[in-house]
Amino acid sequence: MIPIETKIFEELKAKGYWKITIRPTEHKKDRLTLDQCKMFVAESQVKLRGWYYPHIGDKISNFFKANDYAESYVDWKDHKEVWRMYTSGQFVHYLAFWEDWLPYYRQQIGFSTNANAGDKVKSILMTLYTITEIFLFTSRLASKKVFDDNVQISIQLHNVSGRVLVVDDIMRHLRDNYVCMSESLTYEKKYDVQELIVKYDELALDATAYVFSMFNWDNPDLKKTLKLDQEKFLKGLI
Amino acid sequence: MFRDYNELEDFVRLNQHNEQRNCEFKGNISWNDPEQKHKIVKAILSMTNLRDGGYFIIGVAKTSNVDGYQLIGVTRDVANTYNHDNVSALANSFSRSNINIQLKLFDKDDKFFVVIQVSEFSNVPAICGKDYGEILHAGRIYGRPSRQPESSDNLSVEDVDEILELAVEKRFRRRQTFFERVGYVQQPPISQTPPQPNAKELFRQESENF
Repeated sequence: MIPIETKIFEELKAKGYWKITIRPTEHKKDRLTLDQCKMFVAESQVKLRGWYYPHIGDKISNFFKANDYAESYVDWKDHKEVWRMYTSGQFVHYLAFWEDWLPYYRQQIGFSTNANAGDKVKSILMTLYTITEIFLFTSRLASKKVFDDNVQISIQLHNVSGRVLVVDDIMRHLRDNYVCMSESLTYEKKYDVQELIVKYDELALDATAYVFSMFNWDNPDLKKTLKLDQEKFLKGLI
Repeated sequence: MFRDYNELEDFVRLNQHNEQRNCEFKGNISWNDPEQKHKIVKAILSMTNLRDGGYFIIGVAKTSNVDGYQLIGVTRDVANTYNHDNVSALANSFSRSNINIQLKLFDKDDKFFVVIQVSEFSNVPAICGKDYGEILHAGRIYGRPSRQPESSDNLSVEDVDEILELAVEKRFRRRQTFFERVGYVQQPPISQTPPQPNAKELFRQESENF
């Protein structure tokens, strides 16, 4: 690991972070060329917000190729992330929780929950947007035939114990405090690529609802509520 | 859309040295200038035909080759010439299909910025519906060519292919959703290859130092 990577990992793992793994179900070492590793990620990048998923290195951050993977990392202001796309088609992405680095979120706590100023938080909308981006990104990779018939997606959230859900909109309020009691949580599932391409949005809602259920937010209408926000996000209307 | 000025500033800094296909920067231009506003419409028609749409940002200009694009801002009076309804109405009057935009004003130290976020088309690509001088021509499809970030109808085969692919994807998703709604569900094909027994371990080993 190069020194800058070590530094990013140290910072990233000191707070909350995502680990996302997307891979085919069959391991073929030379499924992609190194050039395709970058090209497919770039062509599948999701640009629905000012900060794209995933971020691809340029002058501020960086990008390089190694033996069997292409890698990009960024440590710029509130943004800390590292990803690798292996020639096997496996994509592994570490991403810091923005909530822990953006001062903006500290101001939200008082509006949305009974949480105290020092509490660790997880934004409902940011979580929904990130998971939707992950599924949309995977569906775009799938459209480029990076996988065969199936693809495995694993979404992990780390350092979430004691973390409280917050809502980003001052006009909305949560009735209760929803707190995660596990240190980390994982949502992992194998998908048929055709189903993923057609229904990435619904599948992302399933994953998001699971994550929120691990914060003990079990609302039967949750997916219906989140769907409206997701639709706005996908139409670029947030 | 950017949440606050800081996010806008980050975005401009990331694209400081070159405009990308999905963003266009303009300096001090007013919506009251007929030629300029039709150029904005052309950019909107182009960006809606791009995957994930794009941003048209007023108040950002290239100050020098070394400094690249900077947030120079516009005056309050110029910023106030823009409002969502006017921009959306004019853009939609030039398109044969519906176009969605968001418009937001930002300010910092008495400098104002207008951001127009253009959504990717919903069902079919935008086709220009009427002429405006030499800027807009009825019947043409505008896009953001991959070779140069500009709004143009001079598209390469690859650019047109990209727009068509986007439209086909949407049609495919609509068709599948319709089939499901009426109760016709296509079963995914059964994979002919037996599952690789040690695939999980091979993937784990590959990324174990990461």
